[in-house]
Amino acid sequence: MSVEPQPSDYVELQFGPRWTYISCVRKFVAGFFMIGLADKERAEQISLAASELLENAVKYASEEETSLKISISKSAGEVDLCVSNAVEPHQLNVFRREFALATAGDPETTYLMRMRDAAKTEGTTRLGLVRIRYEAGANLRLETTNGRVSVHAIFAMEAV
Amino acid sequence: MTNERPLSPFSVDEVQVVPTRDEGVLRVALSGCVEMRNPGEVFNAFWADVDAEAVSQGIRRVEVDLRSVGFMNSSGIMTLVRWVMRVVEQDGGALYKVLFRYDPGVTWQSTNMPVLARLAPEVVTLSDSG
Repeated sequence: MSVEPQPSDYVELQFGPRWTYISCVRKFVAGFFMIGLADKERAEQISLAASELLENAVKYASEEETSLKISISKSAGEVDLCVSNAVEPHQLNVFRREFALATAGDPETTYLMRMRDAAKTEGTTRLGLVRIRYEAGANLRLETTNGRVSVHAIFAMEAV
Repeated sequence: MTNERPLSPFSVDEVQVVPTRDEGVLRVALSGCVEMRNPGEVFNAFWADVDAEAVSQGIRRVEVDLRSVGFMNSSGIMTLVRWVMRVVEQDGGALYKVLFRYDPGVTWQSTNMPVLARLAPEVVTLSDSG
């Protein structure tokens, strides 16, 4: 039996930002796409993006709610994985700057550069977004509305 | 060579770490998934201990077997990066080499191991076979 994702397929999860949920969601997303796409590498890439975005959301969310939505568009040939959470206004500008830096330049070059920089400090690595671009091959998009930040990781699919 | 100050095996969350020494080679086998909130709390200290052991015992090669690690978050990867960069920056040049054994069929390994090798080509070599 094969389960083909339909044009309007989506998965939506809302939960309190607890670290212990992240691994569970990563495994669920990987399993979901393994069944739908029968492509282990793509499934692992999408689940990696879910994990890294949720880690950021749990670390920086200002309120007890994080949401993850995965939309599968057959017509556009893409999967849109979106994680959103509330943030404090002062964190919003910090995040915008981080996002701009993470999405600039060639993904591999940026990943290597960020690794070198992060190795010099013991603090937060901020490697997640750069890793999603390089390792998962996703395009990233940022939306900020009403004190919420939403990060989209968009995957082109050959046969959704 | 006697093992005067052995590193001990340990488990943390879903991760098992087993260091062994054999014929002047220090081997570290990891298994499980590295996805705790702050892997650096455990692994920065562990890799520092590996470094200290290798330097003090005159070990020329450390082999890290990651083939049974199903997933590693970016904070976990950074613990490997910090360790490798520490080896690169040792006084007088790297005192030992690091060989990563990885599984090319596991996505996080097949994408990140080549990056580690590009980051520190003078120290890191890779093996993607059994």
